[in-house]
Amino acid sequence: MFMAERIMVLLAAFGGILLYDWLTMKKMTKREKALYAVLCFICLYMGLDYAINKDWFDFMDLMMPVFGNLAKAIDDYLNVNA
Amino acid sequence: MDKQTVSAYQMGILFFVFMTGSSIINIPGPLIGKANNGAWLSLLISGAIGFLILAGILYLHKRYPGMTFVEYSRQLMGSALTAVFSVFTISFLLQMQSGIVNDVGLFMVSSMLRETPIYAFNFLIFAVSAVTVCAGLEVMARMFTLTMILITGCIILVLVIAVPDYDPAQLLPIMPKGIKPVLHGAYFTFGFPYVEVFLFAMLLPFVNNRSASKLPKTMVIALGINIIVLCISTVCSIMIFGSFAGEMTYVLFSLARVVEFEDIVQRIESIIGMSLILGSYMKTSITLYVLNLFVSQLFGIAKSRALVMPLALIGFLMGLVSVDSATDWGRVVMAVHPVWSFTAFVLPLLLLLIISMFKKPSA
Repeated sequence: MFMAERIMVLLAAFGGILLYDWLTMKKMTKREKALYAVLCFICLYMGLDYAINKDWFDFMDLMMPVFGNLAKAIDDYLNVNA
Repeated sequence: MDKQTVSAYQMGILFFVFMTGSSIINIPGPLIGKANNGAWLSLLISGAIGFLILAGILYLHKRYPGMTFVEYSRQLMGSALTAVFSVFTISFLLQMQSGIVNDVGLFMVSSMLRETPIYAFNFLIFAVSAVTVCAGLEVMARMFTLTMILITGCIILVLVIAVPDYDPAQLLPIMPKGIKPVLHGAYFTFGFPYVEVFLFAMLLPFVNNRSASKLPKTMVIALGINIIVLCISTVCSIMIFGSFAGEMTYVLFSLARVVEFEDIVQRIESIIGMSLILGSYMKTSITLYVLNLFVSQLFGIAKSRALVMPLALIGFLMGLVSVDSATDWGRVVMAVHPVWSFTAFVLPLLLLLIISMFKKPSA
């Protein structure tokens, strides 16, 4: 998939949510704005990762070290088909 | 909190739709691959655990009426511990919403529309789900009642048309390799879908007072029907394909492909494709609603719709960047999800249940 295609997908996604919220959302408190900004920043990070396709550190890289080994041990113990 | 309320019956419908929606298409194949002919036993075991989780959340709902999981968690464990456990809960909720939609995307790309990029399906489902969540729980309950009837009717049609092809002899022997495969299947179905009963700890307070007394019975019946439906679809899959059912990811889809009636009704697999999309859309909407409510209450935000769109966008992007391949994704769902969901859902619930037994609810 070309980078231009990925960027277009991201523009559509980001543009869509910002447009929808701009049209429908009335006043937001400071706390809401702050949290909204944090979530958008996370989206921006993942969007850049998707656009340049460099496999940056992502959510699964965060969670797999925590649960991966135990999950594999349980799965291997119960698996009789291997 | 959102002022919309639903009846106990509508909550039961939401619960059934949530538990059955995408499970009926995604569960049978991989489950039979793990548990072989004992797959229905695995569903009974994990379903029993689902009943225990349901009992836990109904007990806490009775003790703390009108309060969601976040609210009574704060009261019981304090804000600090609630925040610590919420990290895992939110992480798995994000994973869930991304995973449900990813399943649809992978299904469509592998089975029906092979040339279409996966983001086309993911984006559309997230967009419609997000707008549905913004409409509110009452709207969701009313709409999902109709779509659930449609989906159930379609699946019953497929299973009934296949009756002449069933071979009950394929069901035996039940446990040729002992109990371990059955436990392996139960481990998988615990992670998807039975641990997800927990999500309704955030939705039970939305039941109106008039029908609150009927809520426990309605929820138990909904879960019971879900277990029966999943068992029936699994058993029917084994009776058609035998042990080969375990090698098919979407066995109900394959079943719909091969059944025919009087040479008139043939190749009706698009009905199953439609059912999967509808079921997954409903499940995504409920998950996104719960995630938004959870995050909003955790951060003390009154207007619970402010974060719906960014959370939906996170789910969409997670599906694009976190999943390296369908094989890797399957491994994560079958092996990692049960452990992750236990930490995210069951552990905090157990802790709250223990604390609540010693602590009186404050006035």
